[in-house]
Amino acid sequence: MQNLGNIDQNILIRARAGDLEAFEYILSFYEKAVYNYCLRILKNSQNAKDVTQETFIKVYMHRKEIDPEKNIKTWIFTIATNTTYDFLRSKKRKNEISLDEKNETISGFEAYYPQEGLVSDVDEALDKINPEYKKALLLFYQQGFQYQEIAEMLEMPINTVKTHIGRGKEELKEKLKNYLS
Amino acid sequence: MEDKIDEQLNNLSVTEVPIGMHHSVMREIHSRRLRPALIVSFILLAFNFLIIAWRINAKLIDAEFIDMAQDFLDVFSFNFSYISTMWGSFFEIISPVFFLSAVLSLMGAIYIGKEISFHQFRKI
Repeated sequence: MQNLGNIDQNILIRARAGDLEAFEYILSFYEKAVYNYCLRILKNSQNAKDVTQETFIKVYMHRKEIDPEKNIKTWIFTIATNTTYDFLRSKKRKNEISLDEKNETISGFEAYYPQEGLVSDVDEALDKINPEYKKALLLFYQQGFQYQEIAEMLEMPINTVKTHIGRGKEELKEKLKNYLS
Repeated sequence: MEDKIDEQLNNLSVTEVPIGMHHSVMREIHSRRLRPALIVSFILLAFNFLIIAWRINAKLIDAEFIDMAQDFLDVFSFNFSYISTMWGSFFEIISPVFFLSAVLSLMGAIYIGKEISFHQFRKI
C-alpha cells in the first residue's frame, strides 16, 4: 500500500490559481501512483504512460475544480479511472490492439514486474478477475483509499465497494489456490 | 489464506515512472497555456504583413513601380547615401508604426516559441 500523505493546502490553492510550480509539485507527488494504477489496468507501459499524461493534463485543464479542503488524491484517481476506462473502451471500439502491442502487453508487464513467484501470480490472477472487482481492489490495496473514497470515485454505494472488494478477494483466492495451499 | 491474500495485495510491486513522462506532461501543459497567446501573436503578425503589403502596393502603384525599379537598377551601387535614401523612402512608403508593430509581433512569436521549446523545470 502506498501512503502518500496529503499535499499542503497552500499548494492546492496555488495550483487552482494556475501556478505551474504548484501543479508540477502535485504531478511529482502523484505521477508514480497514477502510472502504476494505469499500468495494472492496461498492462502496457506505453498506454499507461499515455493515459497518465492525459490524466494530468485533464487535472490541469480542470484545476478550477480543485477543492483545497478535500483530498486531491481522490479527485486525481477519479480522473485516472475514467480516463483509463475511456481509453479501454475506445481501444475496444476501434479494435486497435495490434499484435505488437499484445506482445508488449505480456513481455513489457513481466519486464516491469520482475519478481518471481507469488507476486507475479497475483498480477496474473488480478488480470483474470472481474474488472470491477479489480478496480476496487487496486484502489483499496495498491493506493490505500478508504471505502468511502472509493465509493465517491466509482460513484457507487459504500456497501457495493465492500462487496466488490470481498468478491474480488474470493475470486483471487480461487485463482491462487494452487499457490496458497 | 485470507491473510496471505491481504499480504500479497498489500505488497503489489511498484514500478518507476518512465523517463521523460514528467517533462512531456509539463511541456504539453506549457504549450496549452501559451497556445492562445501564440495564436493571437501569429494573427497579429499576419495582419501586419497584410497591411504592409497593401501599403507597399498602394504606394508603389502611385509612384509608378516600373520607373522606380529602373531607377533602383541604374543607381545600384552600394554607397551610404544611397542606403540612407532607400531607408528614408522605405519609411515614407511604410508607416514606422506598422513596421514597429510587425517587428514586435515577430519578436513575441519567437519568444513564445522559445518558451515552449526550452521550458526550464523548476522545483518548489
